[in-house]
Amino acid sequence: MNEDLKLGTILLVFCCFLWFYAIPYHIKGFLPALFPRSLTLAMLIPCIILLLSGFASRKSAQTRPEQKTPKAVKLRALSIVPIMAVYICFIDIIGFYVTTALFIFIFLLFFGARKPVALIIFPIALPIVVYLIIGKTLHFPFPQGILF
Amino acid sequence: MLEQILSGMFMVLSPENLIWAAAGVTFGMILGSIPGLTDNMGIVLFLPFTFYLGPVAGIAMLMGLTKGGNFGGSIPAILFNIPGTPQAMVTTLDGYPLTQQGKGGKALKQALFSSVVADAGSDLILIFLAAPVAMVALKIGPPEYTSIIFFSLIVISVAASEFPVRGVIAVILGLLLGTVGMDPEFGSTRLIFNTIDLADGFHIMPMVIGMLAFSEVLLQFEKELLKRWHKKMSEKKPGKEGPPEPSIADHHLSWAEFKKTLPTIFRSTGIGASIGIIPGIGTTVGSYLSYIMAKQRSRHPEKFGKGSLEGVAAAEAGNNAVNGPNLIPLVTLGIPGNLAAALILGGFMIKGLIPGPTFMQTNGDMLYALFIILLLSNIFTLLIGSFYIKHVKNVTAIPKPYLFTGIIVFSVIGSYVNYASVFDVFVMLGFAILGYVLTKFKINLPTVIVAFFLGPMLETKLRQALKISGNDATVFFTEPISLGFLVLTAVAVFFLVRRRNIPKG
Amino acid sequence: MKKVFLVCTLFFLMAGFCATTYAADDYPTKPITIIVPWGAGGMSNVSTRMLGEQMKKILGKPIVFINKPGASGIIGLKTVRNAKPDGYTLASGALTLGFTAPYFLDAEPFDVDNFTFIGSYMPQERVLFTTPDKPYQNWEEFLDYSKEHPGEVSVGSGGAQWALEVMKSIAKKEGIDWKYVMFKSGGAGSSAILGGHVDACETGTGTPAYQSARAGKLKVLVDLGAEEVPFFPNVKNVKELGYPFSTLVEYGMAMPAGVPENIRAKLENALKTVMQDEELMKKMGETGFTPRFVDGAGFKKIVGKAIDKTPALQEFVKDVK
Repeated sequence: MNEDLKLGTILLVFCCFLWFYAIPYHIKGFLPALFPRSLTLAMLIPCIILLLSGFASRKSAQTRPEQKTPKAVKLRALSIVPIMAVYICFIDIIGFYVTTALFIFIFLLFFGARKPVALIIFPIALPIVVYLIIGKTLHFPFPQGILF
Repeated sequence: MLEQILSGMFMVLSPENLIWAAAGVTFGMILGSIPGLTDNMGIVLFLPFTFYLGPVAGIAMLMGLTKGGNFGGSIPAILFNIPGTPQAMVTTLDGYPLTQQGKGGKALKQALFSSVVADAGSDLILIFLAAPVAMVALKIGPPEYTSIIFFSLIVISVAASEFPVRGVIAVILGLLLGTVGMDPEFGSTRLIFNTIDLADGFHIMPMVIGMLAFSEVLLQFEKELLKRWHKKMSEKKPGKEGPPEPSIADHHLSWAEFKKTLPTIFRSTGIGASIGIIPGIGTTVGSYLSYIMAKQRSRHPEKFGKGSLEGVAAAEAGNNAVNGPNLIPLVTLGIPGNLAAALILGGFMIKGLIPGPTFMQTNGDMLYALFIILLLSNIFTLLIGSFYIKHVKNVTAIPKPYLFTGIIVFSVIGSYVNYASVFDVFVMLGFAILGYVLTKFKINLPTVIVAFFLGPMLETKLRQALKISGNDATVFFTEPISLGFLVLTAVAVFFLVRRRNIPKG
Repeated sequence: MKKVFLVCTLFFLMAGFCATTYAADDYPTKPITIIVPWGAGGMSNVSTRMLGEQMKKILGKPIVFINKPGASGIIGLKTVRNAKPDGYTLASGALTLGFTAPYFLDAEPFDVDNFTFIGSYMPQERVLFTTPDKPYQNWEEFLDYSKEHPGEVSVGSGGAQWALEVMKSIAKKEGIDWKYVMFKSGGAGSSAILGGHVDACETGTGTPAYQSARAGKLKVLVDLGAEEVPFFPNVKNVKELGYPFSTLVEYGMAMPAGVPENIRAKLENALKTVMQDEELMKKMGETGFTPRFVDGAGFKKIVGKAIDKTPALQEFVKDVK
């Protein structure tokens, strides 16, 4: 399956989702739904063009020697996302400082930093700097959990 | 009038005012250069503080903040491909490739000079053309707005992406994202899936940070991993080389190089200023349209997106030129043209000054003092900016793990602080994933964001226009300004498509 | 692993130092947060900051202002309702608009008993403007003109659903067919009427349209509220004209329910003292604000009245298109 075909299919599914579920069940009234509905219809045009060109170039695409990102690399990069989700949840529960320091440490290890001194100083110093600048000097609100 | 100018001059030229203007520029630049913190937030923060300053000093500081912040945003855009403020989005297109070629310092200087020239130019427009321009701005009603936004979206979708089909997808996707939240007419909620935090739609900061900053971490980390992976492979199979290392650093910007970009800067100033006349369209559109125009007119359009100084000049001049005219509706009518102007209006009101139709008569000297401060702030931006980039251009030397972690922490803070909402941080993460996926499909992210900016306005104005005309769609063709823009759209599409079809050679 | 443990221990120690308990007697002992449930460009924001800066001096602790706009004020009010009732989180602004917004947005309504009211500092009238080049120059002429031209006259609102509904109720009573156009804010409504894009438009006092009217560039047709419009003594309000509904916009401050009475009284007192500052009042008056102090109990009654009025209005205009 080449890229055009993939994107076209995803968009088609997205349009169907909007047209048959999201818009009828999550927008009340005719006028409020009009603009989103027109957009959904408009989206079908590039969608169909993609699908057609995708089908047309299906065979030639397979011979294209495009360098693909290996799955393992992709997965490793994307595993930032679940770590982040945990981090954000913890901020809400525990509080900004402790959580951030802990996760800076985790992220540093994850990204491949190995210097022990930096691994200790950075997680302690960065949140302090952030807190002093943004929280103390600029008086922005900070997430407050059970700890600091 | 001369009397007022002179007394305005005296009001400005006290050390106190100059110091606060310079302080404003400095703070703005620092805030702007941290992804997630913007000049607008700076204004919100310092607004109560200006209460204690004299009226001129307070306003001087707020003006300085917007100017400094506007330039500050382009620093991380050039160095890390992460715009510090949304308006620096377009600067990434050519700024970052220049950094990759080891020309970060050059790009920063180009950005700074273009910003200052365009900003000064737009201030002059504000000072000398305020009254006639305000009359034009008032003529822009719902039908005109609709056509102008339509024009911007079409031009951007066709021109900004390598593939027009994907450009159209980006625009529609952005518009759809913009429909989440409140219906502009009835105020009922739409597509929020029973989440009250979404009742006002996606907030712009988490969206921009997620799509442009955080997703960039994902992509760059992936690239980094890929490099390591290739290294491992090439150890097993010798002969395969990784991507070439950056060539020799070149941080100098010669006068000859700068002179070549001057026509671009002036043209972009014109485009940006025209966009600025219309309240609410915004800096990003100004810089995008300038960029597209510069690419069309350039002798080397093939260099755009690969590190063209003209590209940086167009983007930066285009976004800074919006600022001056944006203040016109504020000083002539008391209507703020953008958020920064709205905040400055608050600053005026706290001081007991009411910008508006009578402002010129009652507080003429104050108005001229403001104008003089605006021009002076440009000089501050130039001086402080030169000093600042001398020191920050080397931050690219920070090892990747620390840089990535730093960006992640600031992404979290930047999306949280605006509305003190943890939900927004999740929104940021969601848009990071979306940004990652869209980049994989070669869909241009700035286009999505611009469409998202303009979407609610397009719908609002479209519906208002139809409502006022009694559901008569011909109104878009009978109003002269509106018709003009529709014709312009057709012409622009024709030229853009024709240009694309000419074989390169 | 040892290092990790060490680092964690350090953090917990630091956290322990920072946690202190607060007693009600020596309130305030830390900065107070004021949440403005509207954007940074609006009247709520300006007025709150003007007052807050002075209250800070009386209370002796810094005040942190947060703009938390969204859903016509619902989001900010909800945040305050769910905050700790320790007197350190306040909501301030045009709160009656926020309290009635759930009825217009079809959201879960607020209960006044879930809040502690500090006091209110000013009412705001919603005023209908038109341009001087129109064939009608006062309310009666406007009504006659509207009746003679059904479906042709457009009336706009500067971001207040309530005001729009009041106009619908007038239209129903008079048998008029207007076209209703909603603008996003007082600023947007002002530029629409100044540019002549609608035939009449309402905004609050203090907006650019209001300032233009003071400069003689716009005409005032009617006051949609039930009190007086500052600087326009001759303009009649809809209550005097005998219409059943009117707007009731009141700016004030509130906290979550359960705040100790002595803290509430202290804040109420601070607000009252600030409102006696003549220089500040003069500044606010020049802006078109109409500051006047009402105590907590009084403000609670006003909010209650506003909430009671809304469903009836909604019911009355249900069939007006």
